[in-house]
Amino acid sequence: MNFDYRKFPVDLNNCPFPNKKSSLRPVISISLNSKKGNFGYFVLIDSGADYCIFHGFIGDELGIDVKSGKPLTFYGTSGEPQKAYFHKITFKVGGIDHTCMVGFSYEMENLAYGILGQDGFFSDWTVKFEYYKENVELKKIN
Amino acid sequence: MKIQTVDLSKTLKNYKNEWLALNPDSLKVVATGNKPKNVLEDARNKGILSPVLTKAPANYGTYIL
Repeated sequence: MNFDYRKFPVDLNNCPFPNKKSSLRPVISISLNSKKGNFGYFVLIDSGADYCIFHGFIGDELGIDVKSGKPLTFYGTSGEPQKAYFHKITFKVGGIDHTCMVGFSYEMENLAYGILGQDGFFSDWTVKFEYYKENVELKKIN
Repeated sequence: MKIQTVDLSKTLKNYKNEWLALNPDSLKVVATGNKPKNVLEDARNKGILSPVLTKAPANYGTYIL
């Protein structure tokens, strides 16, 4: 399956490249199923992340008691600790069911999307980044 | 299978610090608010049965994750 990279806004007051209008990122929409129906959620395919981390609200919407999960303290580049709680969930990637452990965090309000990381996503999918084509190719293993 | 998308930088640049529900086909904003639960509900009330949820941060800035 091929997915287009998506263009996100840049802060023109904090950008070293004057002609840059947007940032290209391998962000895709996954589909989640709650009691109230399906909804989509943007996630960044992030080879630098150890785990899959979603906003805490997503867990709430799925009916999960988020804080009952196994806790993890994780760190971004700022070094500030953040907390996530892990649960096994299923979501669809391009229409294909995928089940994995996801950490839900209420401390990622400055991020527009969730993160698909090494354990739980790259462990189960072949990922081919093609920035020059603005394309990411995903293929489920097995 | 190639999934066509739109330039989200144009769609999202006018929103800050709130949750957004997007039409899954056009990716245009259909509902906004501080509580994601309400945003999803608003979108469904407008006939968008499977809205796409995203958070508009205070500043999109630059990410090194």
